[in-house]
Amino acid sequence: MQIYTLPAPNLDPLQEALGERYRFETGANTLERATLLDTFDGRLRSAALELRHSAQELQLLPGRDSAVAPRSAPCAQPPEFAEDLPVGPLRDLVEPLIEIRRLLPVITWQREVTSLRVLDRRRKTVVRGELARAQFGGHTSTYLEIRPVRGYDRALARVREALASLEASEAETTEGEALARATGHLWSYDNKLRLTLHPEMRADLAMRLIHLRLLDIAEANIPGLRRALDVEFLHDFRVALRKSRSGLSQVRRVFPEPAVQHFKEELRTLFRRTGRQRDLDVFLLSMPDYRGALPPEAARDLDPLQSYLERQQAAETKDLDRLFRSQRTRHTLTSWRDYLESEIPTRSLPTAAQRPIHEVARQSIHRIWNRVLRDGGRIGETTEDAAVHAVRVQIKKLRYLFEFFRSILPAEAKTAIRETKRLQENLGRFADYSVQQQQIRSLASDLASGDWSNAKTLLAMGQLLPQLEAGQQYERQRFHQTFGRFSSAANQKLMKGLLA
Amino acid sequence: MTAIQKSKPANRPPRPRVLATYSIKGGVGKTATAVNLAYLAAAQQGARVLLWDLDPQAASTFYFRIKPKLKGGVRKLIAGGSKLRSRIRGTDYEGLDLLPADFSYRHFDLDLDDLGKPHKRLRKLIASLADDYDYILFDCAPSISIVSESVFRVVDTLIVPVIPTPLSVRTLKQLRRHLNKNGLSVPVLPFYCMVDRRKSLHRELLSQRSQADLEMLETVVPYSTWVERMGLERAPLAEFAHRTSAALAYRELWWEIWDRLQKS
Ligand SMILES: Nc1ncnc2c1ncn2[C@@H]1O[C@H](COP(=O)(O)OP(=O)(O)O)[C@@H](O)[C@H]1O
Ligand SMILES: [Mg+2]
Repeated sequence: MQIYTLPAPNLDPLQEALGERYRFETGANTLERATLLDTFDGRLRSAALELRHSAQELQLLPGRDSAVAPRSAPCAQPPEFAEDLPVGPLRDLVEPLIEIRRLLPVITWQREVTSLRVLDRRRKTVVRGELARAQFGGHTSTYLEIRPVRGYDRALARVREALASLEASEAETTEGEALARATGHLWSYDNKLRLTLHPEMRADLAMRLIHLRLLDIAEANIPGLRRALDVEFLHDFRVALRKSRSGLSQVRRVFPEPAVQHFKEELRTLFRRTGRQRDLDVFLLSMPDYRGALPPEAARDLDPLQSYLERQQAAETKDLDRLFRSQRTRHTLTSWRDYLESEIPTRSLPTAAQRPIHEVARQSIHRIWNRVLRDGGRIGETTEDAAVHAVRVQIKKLRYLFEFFRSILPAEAKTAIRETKRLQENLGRFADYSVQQQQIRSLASDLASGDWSNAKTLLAMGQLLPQLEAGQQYERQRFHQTFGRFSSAANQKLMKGLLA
Repeated sequence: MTAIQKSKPANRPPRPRVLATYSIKGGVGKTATAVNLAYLAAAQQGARVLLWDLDPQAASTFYFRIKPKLKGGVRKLIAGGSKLRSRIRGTDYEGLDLLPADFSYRHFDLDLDDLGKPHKRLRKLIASLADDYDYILFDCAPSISIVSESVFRVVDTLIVPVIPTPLSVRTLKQLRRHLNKNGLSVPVLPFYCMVDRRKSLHRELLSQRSQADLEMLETVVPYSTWVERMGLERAPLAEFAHRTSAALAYRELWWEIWDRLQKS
C-alpha cells in the first residue's frame, strides 16, 4: 500500500497519463466519519500501524515502514478492547500489541471518499485505490491511496509514472496520523524514563531531572486512572511513584534530609491509598487464569466472586476519583513539582549534592548491589519466606537505579542488568503467588461474612490455594538458580569493574 | 500439583490454515463454495486468502476474470518453489489472491508422481507462503488421485458439498471409508447444498439428517439461480446479490467452518 498527497482532488491528469491500455474507473462518492484508534501509550503507532474505524468497518493500515498487509473487517462500533475486535487475523495481529489496554479515539475526522480501480482490457482490476479529501480541525488534505494487485506489476508501474505528472508526493505517514500530527493531537506518552544524563552533571540536578520525568509520567496517567479507562493507567502511575520513592531513599545526601523525609512520606501515602484498587485490578485480571485452573463446574462457581470483585472495583474507582480531586492529593503533587523546579540553593547543601552524578550513581548502585549479594546469599532451603521477600524489594531498588542511570553506565552493564531483571521477575512471580493466596484467604472471609457466596464458591476458591502454593514453591526453588547466575564470579567481576 | 499458569495473551493460530473443497463427484458445488468462502474469509475477517485452483477446467480462475494461464505449466510451479509467488494473481477484491489453473493441470498427477514425495512437495510450497496468507483454500478437481491424496495429507480440513440425493450421500460415505482405510485423519466437514425444498426427496433426506451419522454441518445452501448467475457476473455472490438466501447461507457456512477450525 502506498499513500500519496495530492495538491488537489483532481484525477483527470491521471486518467490521461494512463493512456489506452488501462481504463480508470471511479466508484461512488461517499462521506464518512473516520476515527483513529490507539492505546494511550501509542502501541499501534509504535508498530507502524493505523487502526481506523469508519462506516461500520474497521481497517488496519500499515505505515510506510510496515510489512503488514492492510486488512479490513465489518465492525459496527469502534472497538474499545481487544475482545471487541472482529475475530480472525485482524484481531490476531492487534491483540498481542494492545493486550489489556483500551483503544482510545485519537481524532475523528471527515472524509470524502471516492474508490477507484484501474482495469485492463479484460476488465480485470489491476490496481485498486481510494481518493480521499480529509478534513480535521481546519486542516484539509487530499490523499490518494494505491493498493497493488498481486501479479500486475506493469500496471502498477504505469500508475506510479502517471502519478508523477500529478505532482503527487508519497506521504510520510498514514492519513489519520498525518492529520493528528498536523493538528497537534498526537499523544506522546511513554512510561520509560529515557533520560540522557551527562556524567559530570551535579547530582542534585540530575536527580531533579529524574524525579521530574517520573512526576510527568505519573501525572499523565491521572485523567485515565480517574475514569478507569484501563488498568494500566493506575499501574503506571504507581510504578512512577514507587521509582521516585526509591530514588529518594537510595540516592543519598543529594537533597536536604527534611525534604527527603517529607516527600517520601507524601508519596508513600498516595501510593498506599491507591493500593486497594490495584489489588482488585490484579485479582480480576487473574480470574481467567483461576477459572482455567479449575474443572469447568468449579470454574463457574467463581461467578459470585467475580461479581463481588466487580462491585468492589466500581466503588473503589469512585473513591479513587475523589482521592485525586482532593486538596490533599493535589497539594502533594504540586508541592513536589514546585520543590523539584525551585531554584537550587547555593549554601548548606548536603554532601553529595554537588558531586558528579556518575560518582553518586556508582556509589548508590554499589551499596544496594552488595546488600543483595549478602542477603540473597544467606537464603537457604529453610529460610523464612519473609527473607526472600526482603531480597525481592532490594532487587527492585537495584533495577530502578539501573534504569535511572542507564545513560551514564558503560554498555557492558547490559549483562548485569539482564541478570538483575531475570532475578526480579523470578522473585516477582514468587511474590505474586504469595499475595494471591493471602488475597483469596481474605476474600473468602469477606464473602463468608456477607450474603454473596455459597459453600461452592468458597470451595472453588479453596481449590486454588494448593496450586498457588505450588507455583510459589516452584519460583522459590528457581531462585537458587537465578541467584546463582546473578552472583556468578563473572557477573561480580563485571560489576566490580563497572563500579570501580 | 501444577502451578496456575499465566495465560499468554492471544496465542496466534497456526498459519496459514489450509482448507480444500472436495468431492469425488463433479458438479456438486465445490467451485461455487470455494469462490464464495475464499471471498468471505477475506471480507469478513480481513484475512489474506489464497485460492488455489487445482482443476484443469479452471472454473475458479474464470470466476475471478483471471487468465487461465500458468507460465511453464504446473510442473514448473511445483519443481522449484521460487516460481510460486510470481504465478499468483490478485483478484478484484482486497485480501483475496488466486493461483490460476490452466490445462497443464490435467497432467498434475503424473508430474507429482514423477518428481516424487508428492505431499511433502506440496507442504513445502504451502510453508513458503506462510508469511503471505492466513488461509489457503484448494479448489479440487473431482476424483481420487495422487493430487487429492496429497491434498488430504496437507489440509487442516476438507469441505465437502453434498447434494441431498442417495447417490451423493453414498459418495460421502465412500470418501470417509477411503480416508479411514488409508489412515488419513483429516477432518471432513460435509454440508448439504443445492437444496430444493420443493423436492420431496431433498426434504426427506434432510429430515433424516439427525439420525444418520453423517455429521453434516448445520448450514444448508439452497438451490439458487443466483449461484448460477455467478458465471455471468464473474464475481462472488456477496458482490452482486448479498441479500439473497444463498449468499446468507454461504456466510453462515463460513462462520460455522471457522468455528470448527478454532476448536481443532
Ligand atoms: N447452490 C446452488 N444453486 C444453484 N446452482 C448451483 C449451486 N451451486 C452450484 N451451482 C451450479 O452447479 C454447477 C456446478 O457447480 P460447481 O461449483 O462448478 O461444481 P463442482 O466444482 O463441484 O464441479 C455450476 O453451474 C453452478 O453454477
Ligand atoms: Mg469445480
